[in-house]
Formats: sequence, structure tokens, C-alpha cells
Amino acid sequence: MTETTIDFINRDLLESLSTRLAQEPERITTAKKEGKKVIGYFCPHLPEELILAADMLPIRLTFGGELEPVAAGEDFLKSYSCPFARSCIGYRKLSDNFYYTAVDAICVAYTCDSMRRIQEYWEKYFDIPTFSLGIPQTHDRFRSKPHAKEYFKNELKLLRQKLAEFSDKKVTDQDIRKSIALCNQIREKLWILFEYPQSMQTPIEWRDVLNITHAGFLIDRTDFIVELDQIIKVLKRIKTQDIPKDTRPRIMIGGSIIGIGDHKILDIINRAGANIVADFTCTGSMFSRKRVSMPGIIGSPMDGLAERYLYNIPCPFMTDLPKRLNRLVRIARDYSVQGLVYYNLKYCDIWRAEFKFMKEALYNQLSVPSLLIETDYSPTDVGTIRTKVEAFLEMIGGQI
Amino acid sequence: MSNSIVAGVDIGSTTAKALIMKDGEVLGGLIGPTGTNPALAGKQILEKVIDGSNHTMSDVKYIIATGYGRVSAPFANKTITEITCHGRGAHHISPQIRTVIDIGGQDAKVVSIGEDGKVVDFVMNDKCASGTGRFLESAAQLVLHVPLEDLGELSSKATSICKISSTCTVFAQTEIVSLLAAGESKENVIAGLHSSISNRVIGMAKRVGVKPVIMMTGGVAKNKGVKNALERDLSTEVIIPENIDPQLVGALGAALIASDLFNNS
Repeated sequence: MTETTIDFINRDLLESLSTRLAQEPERITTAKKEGKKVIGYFCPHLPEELILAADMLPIRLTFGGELEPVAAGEDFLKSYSCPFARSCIGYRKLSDNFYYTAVDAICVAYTCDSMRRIQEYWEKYFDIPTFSLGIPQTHDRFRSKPHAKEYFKNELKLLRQKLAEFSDKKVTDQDIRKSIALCNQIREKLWILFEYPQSMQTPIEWRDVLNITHAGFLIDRTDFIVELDQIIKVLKRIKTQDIPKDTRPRIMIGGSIIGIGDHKILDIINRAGANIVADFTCTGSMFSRKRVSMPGIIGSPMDGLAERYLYNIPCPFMTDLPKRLNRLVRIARDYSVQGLVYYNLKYCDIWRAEFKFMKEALYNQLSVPSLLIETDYSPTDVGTIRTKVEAFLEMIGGQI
Repeated sequence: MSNSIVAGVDIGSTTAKALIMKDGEVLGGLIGPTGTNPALAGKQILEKVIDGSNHTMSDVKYIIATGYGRVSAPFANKTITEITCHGRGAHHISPQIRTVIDIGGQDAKVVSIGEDGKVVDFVMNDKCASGTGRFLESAAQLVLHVPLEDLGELSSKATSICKISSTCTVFAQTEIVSLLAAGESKENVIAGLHSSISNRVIGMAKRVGVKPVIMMTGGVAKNKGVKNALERDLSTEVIIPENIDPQLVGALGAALIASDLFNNS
């Protein structure tokens, strides 16, 4: 069984969560024996609510940062596919990460070419049932394309039906409402945590909030809420005015997915003396951004799901650029960011293509500079990245 | 104060450089091979420079280490990246400089600097050594069999420029072998290599914006063929430092920063 690969920084604060996480494989194994089904998914366009409403356990399979799964993934995807995508199939091939072997089925949102095929690989080579979710790629913010949402809503309805069949359970609107309420609670609590690093006197670092978010991809969602409540309770007791001000340069990290356990770039930034305070990634704060609005008594909860999961997910493949740029600039402003480190996994074309726009938007609107780091999970370029990051911090610091 | 010396030590992948200053004046600078022990190479070249200036190590009050080997230089008071140092050094040589193209042994950088010599933006190649000094060195030694220093001169005798599409050190060698086999002259092939470097570096430079005046630093700046190719492809003049070895610009910047930090302390 896999040990947890989440490296919590504030171990005292997060001891209970860490213990809870370590127990998860055993609990899942027991639950499975009792007939509970486990559903894996990758991209945040996939509403966990539908899995929970069908009385199954959702797991977001987003481990990353390790070399072996990338190599194993090359049996399926070309060597110039992004290392995360290769890991999505490589972990299953290696079978040494508990979560990838525990799932009874996976849901795949069609968010890039590699993810599209990963579904078929899982099905054909590992005999795992898979359910797809199509997402319209253009749906501008002025809602001039109402048919986009209709299409997505139909996709969600179909997924709901498939999941219900797989679970052999009737999924009512009431079940969906309940799971929406649960997921909204998680989002709201995570958001409370993500707001702390806006201050120079924060009782919790952004990195730990990321760690907590990652733990929440794995552990039982109801238990996760208990853990979140406990963490927030402790944090609220801390007098922030007593915390010494953190004067390190304030960095926002953006770009490709930061997988569970992928800490190469984060470590380089921290070791160079900077503080990561915010992010613009789909495994970080953007995962918990915006709740699902609950309809009135007669409305359908599917409407709220379609609205939230179509318009409020930070995927460059799906979201129109002006909306993304506004969001990026707003986060940079709210968190008093001094520089953006754009972590681009090699061969992840959709994120790479956006960098120039992001760099210009931040510089023109806030005079915040950006640094592009294109890399993979191998350690060979750590020296070069360190030089780039240090030079960037020297540039931001301006003392030299 | 009269005996207070500050030093910049730039430990690159191929060569280690040291430069010392006193009261704002350069006392001397030297270049030596990095070899297999970067920290030792840095220390030795610094000692050699100090010996040559009739001072002793104890006169050195502040040392900044830069270059990829900076992290393994325990004798330094502080480390600063070569990106910042090249910017500062180039600005000191000529305050009009806005873009520095530094091509060293294993990396290439384009640094955009402001009126005050501070870095505004930069790009640096990733882990691959394509289009760097190593690229030229391996081509010269392994397939062209000419001394590295002669490349510039030889390329000026080219009658036409061979098209070498690969900037990968390994692939380019294969391409060179084919070109030579097809009867192309050595000179034309070398001119092609220089063009290939120029294209690669200009591609990087466009990401930060190429603002004149442009200065070229690092070992490859000594190769006139690359300078000429850059000037031709950029349609603008590229300045090579005259009164100081272009390889010493990073160490100069480091010494200048050392001087600032020492005076402020």
C-alpha cells in the first residue's frame, strides 16, 4: 500500500489530516469489500457531486512529479506528451500507487488530446469501465452561445445516468442537492484557507493549503469536512497580529497542473528565498473557486452544476482568454503578487500557448513580471531552473 | 580603505573567471579552465589574480560568486546569478546597452536591461546546450578538426552559407558530416554553424524584445563569425567589449555588485 506522498509543512496543525490520509487506503479497501464503488477522475470539469450522489467514492487521480510513471506511460502515449498525461496511464500500468488500482471505474472529461485517449487505454488495457464527459470548447462569457451550456447539461445528465447504472442506485434530484451542499461546504472551507496568504501575517502557508486541497482529492469527503473544520478552528484562534511579517518576495505560480507530490518547482522557488502566496492552477485554489448555486425548490440542480463546471473551471483549453486574464490579474492584485512563475509542463501546448498573453496582461496592468519555466519531472534541469528563478528574484527584489 | 579589494568570481561550465577592483578601478582579471572541481578552480583563479596585483587574500573584503558553479563557492560572501552580473557588467562598460547576449560554454542568455543597468527581463536556454559554446566546440573538434579559435576567421572566407537546420549538438554533427561528404567547403559549413547559432539566439531574444544597443558577452563573443551573423540577421550593430575580455563581463558585474554591497555594509 502506498504511503501518503503529501509533505505537509505545518505538521502540528495538519497531524490529524495526515493521519487520516494515511488510513485512507485501508478504509477504501474495507468500503470496497462492503460493496462501495470507487470512481477516479482527472480534470476538474468533472462534478464530484454526480459520483457522490450515486453513493460512490470520488478520487481525483492527480499524482505527479515521479519519473517511473512517466516512463511507464510511454507505452501508450508518445514521449513528447506532457509528463502528467503520461503519468495518468503510467501509474495504472505500474500498479504501485494504491489509488490508481482501487478505482472501479474512471470518468474522463475531454480536456486535451492526451486525456481523450487515456480513457480508451484504461478501458482496453486495464479493463476498467470508463465514462466520458464532453465539454464545449467555446462558450464566451456573454453567454452568446447558450447551446454550449445546453450541450454540457445533456452530457452531465448522461453521466449521471451512467453513474447511477454503475452504482445500481436511483439518483434523485434530492441526492444531487445533498452532494452539491457537501461539495459547496468543501469549496467554501478551502477558500477560507486560500484567503489567508493574502496577508503577510498568515497562520498558514499557501503550500499547506495546496497540500490540504490535494488530501481532499483522496479522502472521504464527509471526513474531509471534519478535518477542514478542525484546521480552521485552530487557525482562527491564532492572533495574526502576533505573527511576524513574511517579507520574502511574493510569488504566484501558474501554468500546468501541479500534481500530488510534484514539488520540484515549489522547492526551487522556496529555496531561492521566495514565498509562494497564490496560484492559478487547476489543482490549487481554482479547484475550490465558486460554489454551485442551488436552484429553488422546483428548479433542477443539474442547472447549477452545468453553470459552475462549465464557466468556472480554469482550463485554458475550454475557457475564453479575456475571462482568464481578468481572473489572473485579480488574483495577482488580491495577493500583492510581485512575480508570476509560470510552470509549464513540457509538451503541454495549451498552457504554453497562453503564456505570452498572461505575461503581457500582468505586466501592462500591474507591472508584475513573469518567468516561464518549461520542464518535466526529471531532476536534470534543477540547476538551470534555480539560476532562472534566482535571477528572477534578483530582478524583482531590485536591491542589486 | 586603500587596500580594500572586492572581487567577482564567475565559475562557468568551461572556464572560471576572476576580476578584482579597488576604489572603482579594475586591478586585473584572469580566465582559467573550470576542470572537474568548480569551487577549487574559482578559488585558484582568484588567488592568481590577487598574486598578480601585489595584494594578498586578506586585502579582499568582499567576494561575489556567480556562474553555474557559484553554489559550490564557499569562499564567497554572497552569490548572484550570472544574468544579473552580465547586465551590470555590460551597463558599466557602456550605459547605452539595453540588450546583452551572453553565450557561454553550455548556456545562452538574452538579458534586457534598463537605463540603470538593472535586469528588466531575460531568457535562458533550458537544459539542452544547443547553440552554445559547446555546440561550436564539439563541431570544431569532432568533425571539422580545426581549433575553436579559428572558426571566426575561417567563416570569413566562406563563399556561401550552408544551411544547417539543427541546433542540436549531436544532430548538427551528423548534418556537417553529410555536408562535407557532399563536397561543401569547411568554411561554408562553419558559416552555416554560425548562422544556426544566430537563429537560435535571435529566437530567444525576440521573447524579451531586442532593444539596441546590443552587447555580446561570454566566450562565443570572441568568435567574429557569430557576431557577424547576429548583426546580419538582426540588421543592427552588435558591440563586443573592447577594453575587457568579453568572458570577463560576468566577473566584472559581480565585482561591481561586491563593491556596492561592501560600501553599503
